[in-house]
Amino acid sequence: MLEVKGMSKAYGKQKALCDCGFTVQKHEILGVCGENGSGKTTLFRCLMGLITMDEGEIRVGGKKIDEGVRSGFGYLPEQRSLYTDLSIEDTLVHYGRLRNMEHDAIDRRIRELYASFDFTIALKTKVGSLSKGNQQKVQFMACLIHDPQIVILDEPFTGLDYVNLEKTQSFLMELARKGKCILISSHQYDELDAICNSLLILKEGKTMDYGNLDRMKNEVGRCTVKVNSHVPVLQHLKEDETVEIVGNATIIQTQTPQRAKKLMNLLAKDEAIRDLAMERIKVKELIRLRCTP
Amino acid sequence: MIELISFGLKRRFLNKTFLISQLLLITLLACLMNADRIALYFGFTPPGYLPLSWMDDASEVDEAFANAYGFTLQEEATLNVVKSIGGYEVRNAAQLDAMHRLQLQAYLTTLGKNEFLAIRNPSVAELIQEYESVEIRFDTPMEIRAVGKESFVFMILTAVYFMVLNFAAMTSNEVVAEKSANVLDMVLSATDAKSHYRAKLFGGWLTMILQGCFALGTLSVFAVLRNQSDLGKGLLSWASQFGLVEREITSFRALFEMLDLDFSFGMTIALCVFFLLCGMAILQILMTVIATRLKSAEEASILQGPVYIFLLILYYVALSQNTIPRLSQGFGKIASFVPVTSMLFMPMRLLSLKLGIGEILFSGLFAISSAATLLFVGQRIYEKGIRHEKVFKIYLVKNKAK
Repeated sequence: MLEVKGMSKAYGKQKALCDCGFTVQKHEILGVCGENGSGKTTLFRCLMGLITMDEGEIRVGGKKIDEGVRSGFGYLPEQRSLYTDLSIEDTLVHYGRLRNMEHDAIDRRIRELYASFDFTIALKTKVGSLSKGNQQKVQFMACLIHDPQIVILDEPFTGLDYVNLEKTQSFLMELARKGKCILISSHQYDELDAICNSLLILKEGKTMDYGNLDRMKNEVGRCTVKVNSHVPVLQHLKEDETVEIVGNATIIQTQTPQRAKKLMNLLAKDEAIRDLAMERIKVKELIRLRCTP
Repeated sequence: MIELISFGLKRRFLNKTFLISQLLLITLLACLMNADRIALYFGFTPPGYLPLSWMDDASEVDEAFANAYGFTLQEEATLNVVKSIGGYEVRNAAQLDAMHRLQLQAYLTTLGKNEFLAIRNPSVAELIQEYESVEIRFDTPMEIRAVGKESFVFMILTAVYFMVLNFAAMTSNEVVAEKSANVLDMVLSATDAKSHYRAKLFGGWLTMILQGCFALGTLSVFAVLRNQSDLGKGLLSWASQFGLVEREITSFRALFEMLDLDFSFGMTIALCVFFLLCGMAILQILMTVIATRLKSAEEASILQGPVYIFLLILYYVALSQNTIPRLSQGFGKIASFVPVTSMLFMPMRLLSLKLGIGEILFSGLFAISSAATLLFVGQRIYEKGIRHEKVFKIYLVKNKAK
């Protein structure tokens, strides 16, 4: 549904984004990852038309879009972008009206979003008096007020506690189920790992890897076997496998998922071992692998 | 764009600061319309007698006699009388209005006559000759002239100028505030920069017009109330003591009659307002566009300082040129055709001289086309600036042949 080709952007001599391309289909959540300054926010700002890209094209449903308002896009910026002296209601109504929504439709949408976010704070409350996390929720609601088809979220989990974080994750997955295209950038890689279907890894504006997350994980192959006790495991390991003791757990890294499964079977025979788990490579390690020369 | 304008207006008008400032304005206008009563209450009314010092021999002059002519004798007074051969010399550092001048002439002539009678016993022929020969010389600056209708209009234009001067910076302040509060990313994801730019400017002008209407409306209400009370007589006679209105004007009706608001004068006022607003629009666009390149409120204040100084200098330069000969040729005439300076010089020329339609049209078209050009050029710069992008790309090409 959203297709980006050859997107490039430079700030003076510094290239912020270089020939970036990807596709996000309906029901898909694309995680955009990379170190600080890798070009994630630049990519989102170019997508939203907040800055002009030097080269490249953006297509939505096969149709090229030019400069101007992206009416089907919803954007959650990295920073708090709210008028703190306004009430929640005024804020949401303002963004709804900017999207040419009627008052009735805005009211209905506010009720829907309140229910989705399980938000109970009175509409008349001033945004400035809300906690950081609740301000983030209001900003989230403002970004979704017009029920956009493409949702672009720059660091959406910032300031959320674990309860709200889980709620937000569920909400995003629900949005994806409803057929939205979602792009998320975050440094909270475990949260991305849990919800993303595909991943775009950027480094200094260049695409280091892009594709389906499962495929990427399979390509890397590295797996982790976690044993929740200190037991002698060295006799089972190969030369290229490492062991790490973290708290009460013994963590073994294997090079392939097949080898991890074999090791699991071996360890399962040991009566001293009660709790065993196999984990595929995490997004954080995937990024580290892709971004480290 | 309409949503942005109404949102901006709501934010400007529906807040505590605005309400307090309006209460302050209402209080000030109420005080202005009842200035005479307040002055009387606090005892600030100008003295009925003009203080006068006698340089040679004060004992010769009777206080009661001086009072009868509207003067009070004081050792320390700015208005001095020196006895000279065959008459008197009146010295005053400040201007002396016509009424006081006449009073002094009558007082000193009578005094001179009385002194003559007291010293010798003249014949009728001698008395007549001596009476006529009491010479009174005035060593004072030009006599004060009560405010005419042109000056009255210029006073109002000055008030509007200073009000508009404040509004010129308002839009730029808002842009800087929105930039520093990071709200623009959200706003510009919902609307385009072009609409934002136009909404800011039109919103600013609407605010100015609404504020002006509110101030004018409030003033009118108080004027009507004062008219109901005493037809404005007390206020006008109080104001006449400062030379603000003619002594003969004793009611608001008479004041309006003096203004002689016919169609031609109405057109002149409309043209004056047009030039003033054109100049201010240019400044407002310039400041708004420049504001997009600024990052903080501190930078904005640095920008506004020189603009205020420029506008004040312009105002005082315009005042210094406000004479018919200076406005008819040279700098005064040229400045009335240059956009921005024309906002003061053209109204002054319109009020003082009889201008041809060609001159007015040329200056008006030049001012409005400058504002329109700036509006469209400014839009591009604004769109870039608000997105933190460079307006001009400078490519440095190295000379490889070298």
